[in-house]
Amino acid sequence: MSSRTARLQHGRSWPAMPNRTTIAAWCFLAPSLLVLAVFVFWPIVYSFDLSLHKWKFSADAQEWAGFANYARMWRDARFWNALGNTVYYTAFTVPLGVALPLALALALNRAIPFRALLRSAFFLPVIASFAIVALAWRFMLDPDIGLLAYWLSFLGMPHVSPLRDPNMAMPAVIIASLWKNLGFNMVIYLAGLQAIPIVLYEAARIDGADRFQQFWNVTWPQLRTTNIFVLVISIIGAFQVFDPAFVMTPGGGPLFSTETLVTYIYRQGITNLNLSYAASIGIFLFAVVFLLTLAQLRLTRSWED
Amino acid sequence: MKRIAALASASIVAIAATVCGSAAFAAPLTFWNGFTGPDRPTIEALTKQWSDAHPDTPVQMDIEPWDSMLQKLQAAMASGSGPDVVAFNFAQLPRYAESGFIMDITDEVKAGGALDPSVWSDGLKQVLQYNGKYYAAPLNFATLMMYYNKDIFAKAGISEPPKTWDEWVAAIKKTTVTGSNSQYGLLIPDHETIPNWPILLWGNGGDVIKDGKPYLDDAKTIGALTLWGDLVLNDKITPTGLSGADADKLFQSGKAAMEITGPWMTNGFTAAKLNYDVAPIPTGPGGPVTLADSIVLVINKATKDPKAALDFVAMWNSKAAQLKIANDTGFPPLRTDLSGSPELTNEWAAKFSTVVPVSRFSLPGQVNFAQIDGDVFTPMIQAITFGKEKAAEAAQQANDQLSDLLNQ
Repeated sequence: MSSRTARLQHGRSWPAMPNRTTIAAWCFLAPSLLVLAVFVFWPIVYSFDLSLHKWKFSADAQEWAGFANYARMWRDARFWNALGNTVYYTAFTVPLGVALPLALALALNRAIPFRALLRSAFFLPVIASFAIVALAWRFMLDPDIGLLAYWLSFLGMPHVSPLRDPNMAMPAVIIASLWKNLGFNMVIYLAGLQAIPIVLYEAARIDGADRFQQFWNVTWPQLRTTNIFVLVISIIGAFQVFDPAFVMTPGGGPLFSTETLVTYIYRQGITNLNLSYAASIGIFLFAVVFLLTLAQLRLTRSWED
Repeated sequence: MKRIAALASASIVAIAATVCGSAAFAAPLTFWNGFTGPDRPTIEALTKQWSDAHPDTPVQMDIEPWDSMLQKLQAAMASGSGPDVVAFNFAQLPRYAESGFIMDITDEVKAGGALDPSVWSDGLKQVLQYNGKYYAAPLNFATLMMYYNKDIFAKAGISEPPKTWDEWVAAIKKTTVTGSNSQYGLLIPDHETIPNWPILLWGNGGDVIKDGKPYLDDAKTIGALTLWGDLVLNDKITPTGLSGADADKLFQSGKAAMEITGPWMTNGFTAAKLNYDVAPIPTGPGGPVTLADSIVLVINKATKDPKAALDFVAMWNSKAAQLKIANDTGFPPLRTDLSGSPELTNEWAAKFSTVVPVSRFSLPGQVNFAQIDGDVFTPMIQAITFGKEKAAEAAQQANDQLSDLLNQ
């Protein structure tokens, strides 16, 4: 084939190509887009509309409220408490939820006995439903019939009831969440570790790097994309925490010490039927998560440069 | 491809024919409730009995936990696809009556009829109405009593249950043991529970709302909050932050001397071989009082068969149905003409019916029941019992919040 015909063919088919691929692309995207539109985009738009009204059960037309629901958030001590608790939860679960799985993945990436068994054991809680895990923890921490109290009684220690104590309830929820999610991030880190070329370690060893130096100069930089993924997912997940707080400490916990933004949305929307107010908190949460994700993406882009 | 389409349309026609065909000779009445506990067989038996007698309109019953049933109900009612009949706690009634989703049955409530109000207590009559109109018929009725552990009482040298608040406080202190082998004198759950604290307020002559006005800043209310808050905080008579289910578990495990709850616990405690009995709640300065509770039946305004629905709802009020409920479950009968009846053979039903005359409903007729309880009352109680605020301060604050809510 001469170069001329090749150019001709190319020239002829070029304008038609994007059209066909575009159509094909939209066809492939359509099913997911439809689902996203119905179950994600539309609810977001509807929630925003709801948050601007004073929704009333059964009313034919909903009364316009403007930004009154948002102004109410500003004055609502329970909302600030829920926001504070959510930040508290995030501030502990995210760093620990990165450090512990990474340490575990490093340990389980080596040839140690029972490696497969240990990996499965750490991953097991991930596949269990959080509601069931939370119930199990609640039973374990029960001061009167729980395992923890039973073990402590052998040591002659006084009864502790973490889930009924305003200072200990949130740490208990955090520990349970960490335990539950440990395996997920561990598996991601294991995959990240195994993708690092062996030659880099060999080169580092030839240069005389010790284990610590190998970690800082090879492993950590090579895990950058894994870290970004884990961080973004963990922060979004932490801000949306619901199940462990709701199941381990129903009703918001002692003195509302475990009431998070999402459990508060549930209380306002489902229990009190203040759907508009609940929607406005939902929109606030959406904005927070959106901005945090944007900030993270910009930050990580600057790392890449 | 064509064959699949043909097959699909054929099966749709077949399904449609079956659905329409069966509807032609039996239009079921749908009934939602949350009787998942030990009373379930009784509810099922009575429903089946009615269905057997009404083959044209058999009842199709949907039982799931109260919480999830209520969540579903809100959406279903709002979209016009709710069940024909629903059973729920009386506290739900004002919200649904105000929204206009449920049928006004005032014309059916008349002397000599199937829903004769003369057999209902005044408190019950009040909670079946909204703005002076009847919107519900009662299904059952419960009162609370003081359960006590006989073994713990015997060990503490208490020969009979306390009758006055002074005796009560003494017995509670005597049976409270702190330290590693702790035991609680009186369990007072503060959230996710059948209300306990209002009984203590009433016992001192206080209240939450009185004559439509917030009453938390009243001296007698604050007096009760101070007395009991102090017993919880300093004498550790109960764990703080206790839910109703936690309290039941604790009492059942024999780690508490007393608990205030309803007749639904007798089955579980008896099965656990606990040596217990019940007594009226000791009388305080405000006079004898206890809490009343009731599951009520309402009819969807959009029902296609209001006559059958009314007949089904009225059945629960009959002497026969009430005797069966009382004798099966230990609930006192809601008909006052059955108290002391020789046909009332269940000892617990007989005991719980003795306190019916002094029983009161908590927050009757309040559309914002859930908010008052969850956003004002529970936070106030927790602030006091966790020692975060003095009773008077917490009560004043809650009173302000309450008046905002009532003026909304």
